[in-house]
Amino acid sequence: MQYIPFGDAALIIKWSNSISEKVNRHVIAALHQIESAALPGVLDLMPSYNELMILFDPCCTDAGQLQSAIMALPPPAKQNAKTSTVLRVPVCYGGEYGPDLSHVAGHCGCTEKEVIDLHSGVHYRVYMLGFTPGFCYLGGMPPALACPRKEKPALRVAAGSVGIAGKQTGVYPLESPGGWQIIGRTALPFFNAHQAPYFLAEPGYTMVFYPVSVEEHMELVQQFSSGTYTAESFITQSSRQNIKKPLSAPDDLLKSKSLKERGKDG
Amino acid sequence: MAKVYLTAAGLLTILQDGGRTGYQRYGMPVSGAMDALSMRVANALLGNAPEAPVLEATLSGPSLVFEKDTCIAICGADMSPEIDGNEIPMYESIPVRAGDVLRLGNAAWGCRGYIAIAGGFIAPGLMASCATYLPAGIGGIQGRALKKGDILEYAEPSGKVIDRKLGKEWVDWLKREEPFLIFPGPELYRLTRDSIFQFLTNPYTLAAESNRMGYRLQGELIRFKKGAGADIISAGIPQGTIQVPGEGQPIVMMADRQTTGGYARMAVLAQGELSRAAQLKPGDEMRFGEARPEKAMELLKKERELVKLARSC
Repeated sequence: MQYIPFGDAALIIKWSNSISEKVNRHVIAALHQIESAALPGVLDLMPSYNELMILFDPCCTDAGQLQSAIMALPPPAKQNAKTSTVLRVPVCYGGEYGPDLSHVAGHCGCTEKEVIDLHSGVHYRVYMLGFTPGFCYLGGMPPALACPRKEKPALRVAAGSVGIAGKQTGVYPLESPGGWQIIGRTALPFFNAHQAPYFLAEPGYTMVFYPVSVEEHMELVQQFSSGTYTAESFITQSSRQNIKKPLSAPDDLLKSKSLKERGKDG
Repeated sequence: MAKVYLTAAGLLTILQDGGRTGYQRYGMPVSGAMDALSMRVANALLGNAPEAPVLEATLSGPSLVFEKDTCIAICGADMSPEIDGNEIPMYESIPVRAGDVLRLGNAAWGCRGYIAIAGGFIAPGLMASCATYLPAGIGGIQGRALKKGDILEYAEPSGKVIDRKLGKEWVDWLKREEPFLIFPGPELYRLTRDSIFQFLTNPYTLAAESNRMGYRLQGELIRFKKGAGADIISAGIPQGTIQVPGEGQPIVMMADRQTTGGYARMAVLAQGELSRAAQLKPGDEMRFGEARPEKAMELLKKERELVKLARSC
């Protein structure tokens, strides 16, 4: 772990030069530790894969003072690696909402169904957010799904689009131009500009995707827009073992429970 | 509440305030006034909160008609403001009467002009800020630049006449032409010594595509040491960060920057240089110099002194 002052208004704490869940756990633990300490002069905290950037008011404090204050804090609460906050993301794969699903299947040498099973069959870690409001950098996509970006970015990618770019997968929180291969769409609002909570995901969350039909997707869209359904009900606390189980049989899960129940109990 | 009518919008006029801090971990850009100092001074001249909503006009200003008597203050870029055809001074509180037409022209100096109004403009807030962030269409008025015919609201005038004026020496200080002071960034070590030397010696020009997100600098290309790449694991980029992509053309990150970036962070502007940088326009030159902490602190102290003075002069 290294403290690196960056100019007169930022201090970086850097753990290593690599991307790993272990390193990112340190980042998130320090984020919560420093936030709850409410150190004077701290304006904002910006966690990323392997760094925590602390932005401060140079008229209140400086990098040296801040470093001493942080080093004097009691060690961060040990996080239980076995439990995690899980965000379950319903995705309508293929068709109109996932125009590039067949391209990805072709590139990966498998069927569309296999792409869906693979994509929705694992759990992902939200390492950090950035790029656009609410965009999650996810780790954990099966390497078999890796597919290069489009040569020519699309001018308009709808909010909620689920895409693959290289070894990464992610959800577009806003309509924007983009070069990702779009395999589906979720009704979950990752960024809600109208009311708090504005953002659905936090760094450190576990995210899982599960397939829904067009009808179920439409129903969700309608329920979100009418406010009868809140996105937070898709967030649960789970032990890691329990996350995997339902994913091995997503179809059964789909048939056995109503959307509302599924959203609630994960 | 009173209303102001836009009879002309100018090139790019947007509502801004201090921006949205506290949400960068969610990828929410801070946004806010590019030249925060001009915003603070304009507000201070009227006795407003330092980050009360103001209009930020870019390169050419808007024309406004006021519904009720109030006071305004204009700071930043010199857009030759006039009321009903009579030139009015900047950097002081100006009483305006109901029906007056305030007209701003093209920027003779600087890039961004700020119009503050007694009590502040009133707009719906998002995350405790009404700052317009155009790429996501949020804040301000429907998340967009103002257009002809728009109606803005401002605080009900108190009837109190404010008479404050900033001395010329302060305005001269704001317009100083000196190298921009920079601190080293965490990936500076990846650059060749020659490139660092060149960067601190040669002027750079703001490219045409420079905007509120960032300034692309044209000039001597920055070279990386053998085996050292430009790409980094995506990480935080505060305002003023100078990033260098592989092709070697540096980018200065400004108010609407993304919260994280994937290019080498070569340096960062001293905080006290950010507002001055906001007054540069495409085609302008930027020179850089190494910041000493004491010098950087001096700039900040002077900024604070200036705002304090504007509040009490």
